[in-house]
Amino acid sequence: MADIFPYVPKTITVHMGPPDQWAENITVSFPDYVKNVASSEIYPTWEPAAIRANILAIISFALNRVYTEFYPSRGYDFQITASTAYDQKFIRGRNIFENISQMVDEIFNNYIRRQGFVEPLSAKFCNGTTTTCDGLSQWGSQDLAKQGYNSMEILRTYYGDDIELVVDAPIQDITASYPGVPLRLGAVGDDVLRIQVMLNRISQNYPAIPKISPVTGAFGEPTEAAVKEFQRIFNLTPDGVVGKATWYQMVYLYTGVLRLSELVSQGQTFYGFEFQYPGVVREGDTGDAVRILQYMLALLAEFEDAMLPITVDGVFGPQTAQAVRQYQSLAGLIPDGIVGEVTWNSLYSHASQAYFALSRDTVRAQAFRQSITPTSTGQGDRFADTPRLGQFPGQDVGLGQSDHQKGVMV
Amino acid sequence: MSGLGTLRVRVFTSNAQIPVEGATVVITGTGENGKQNLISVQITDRSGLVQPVAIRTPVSGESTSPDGMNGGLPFTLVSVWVEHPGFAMLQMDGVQVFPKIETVQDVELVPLGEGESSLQQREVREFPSQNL
Repeated sequence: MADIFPYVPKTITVHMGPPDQWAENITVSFPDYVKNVASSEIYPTWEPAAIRANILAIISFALNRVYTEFYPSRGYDFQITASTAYDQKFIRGRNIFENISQMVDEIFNNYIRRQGFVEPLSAKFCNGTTTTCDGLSQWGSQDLAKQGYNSMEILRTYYGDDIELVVDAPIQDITASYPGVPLRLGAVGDDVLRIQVMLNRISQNYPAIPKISPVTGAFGEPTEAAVKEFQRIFNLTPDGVVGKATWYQMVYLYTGVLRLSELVSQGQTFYGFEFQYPGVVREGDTGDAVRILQYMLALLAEFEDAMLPITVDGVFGPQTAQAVRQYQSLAGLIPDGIVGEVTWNSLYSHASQAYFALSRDTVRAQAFRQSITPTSTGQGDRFADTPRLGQFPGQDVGLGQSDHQKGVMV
Repeated sequence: MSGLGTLRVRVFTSNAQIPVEGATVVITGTGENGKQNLISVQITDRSGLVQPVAIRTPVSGESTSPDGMNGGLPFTLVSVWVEHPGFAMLQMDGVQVFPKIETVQDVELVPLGEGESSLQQREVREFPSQNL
């Protein structure tokens, strides 16, 4: 059953149709999900109090679905649907509005619940004109905001006086929580060190962000310049101050960068393996061919939201079969979950090209350069050797630590 | 049409959001006679960004109450196409721009397989409007 205390999931998997119909499952970060839903449900020109009330309802509803395991407990492989008849509207890849985005960054780990209850409120809403329900009226919230109601007064009007706001709920798998006070010029300490390390790593992909060197844990002008450029690129207020929005934007991005580089370095362990079609691979198989298959699937999942990330363990179980079917249907192949020559070669072709997309990232790509990258493309030289490994990891390195999982953060 | 909004486009690939430099970003609108008109063509910089584009919109009053002001559309709809060799081309229709609001269109490109062309592999996404 569910965890005891509600938390904000790192990502959420959204089924793009009604529960019982086949549809793609899209996995996105939780803040991005909320920004998308809010931009799909209401107008950004509304009063700030109305926007805030609606965002809190959207967050609470989604967290309720996650917390109660509403869909997984019924045997579905997603956490929420994009269908308004069941849940709330999510539109894959849509544009979002800057003011909504900023507000979500501030409050994405706040939600409402009923006093005396632990679970986030299953906060229903409807537009209030063409449809009405025993929940929040979207147009009604805008009307109340115009009359001067604040967001909690609006929410109490619709959900009752016994609701309360929970702020700063824990976030899943995010080890670096926002320190609670903005970091700015003159700040010193481990949190400053952390943002310096994150910014330096991110600047490998974004060369417009100036490198901070040396990394000292003191927030000086070089750090401020790097923060401002980061904010400019990611559409945050470029004030050079690391508040909650900038902090979590950085942490989420850094986590993604680390996961990808971990996959890339995992690719190096395949050096010497053949990526040629090894014969039919199917559920129940184990070994290196399965491992390479899973590796290619995991790599592609980083590039395609409609593929679920999988673990590379060398065992072809139901999760791998599902990932194969997802890939096959995206690639226009018969989704039978069995990897024959056509599926293998298609995967290989896509995985090697995905690898090329990483050539801007200066991670060493030994394994692929040697064995998977076709030489004809002439892009091999762009995989430059990197100074990344020499970068100060941001904390002391001690005996017995390893780079894998816990240990040094690079 | 006396309001003004802006549209920002950022192009990247993968969850690590690696910027795609040199992508062509085309923004088109719909003219009075229903024909498409070109609003902007730009190339992304090394951060995957293009310059923000100002776009004419209806006034705010059209979207701040259920009946609007003159009963017109509350927003302007534009299309955004993004193309870069090696990635599937992405076309987004129904991108909304509101007055005095910055609209952000993040574009995540997916790498193509060997021998596939960005012009042949095109994905079109249509964004429906709010149910308000």
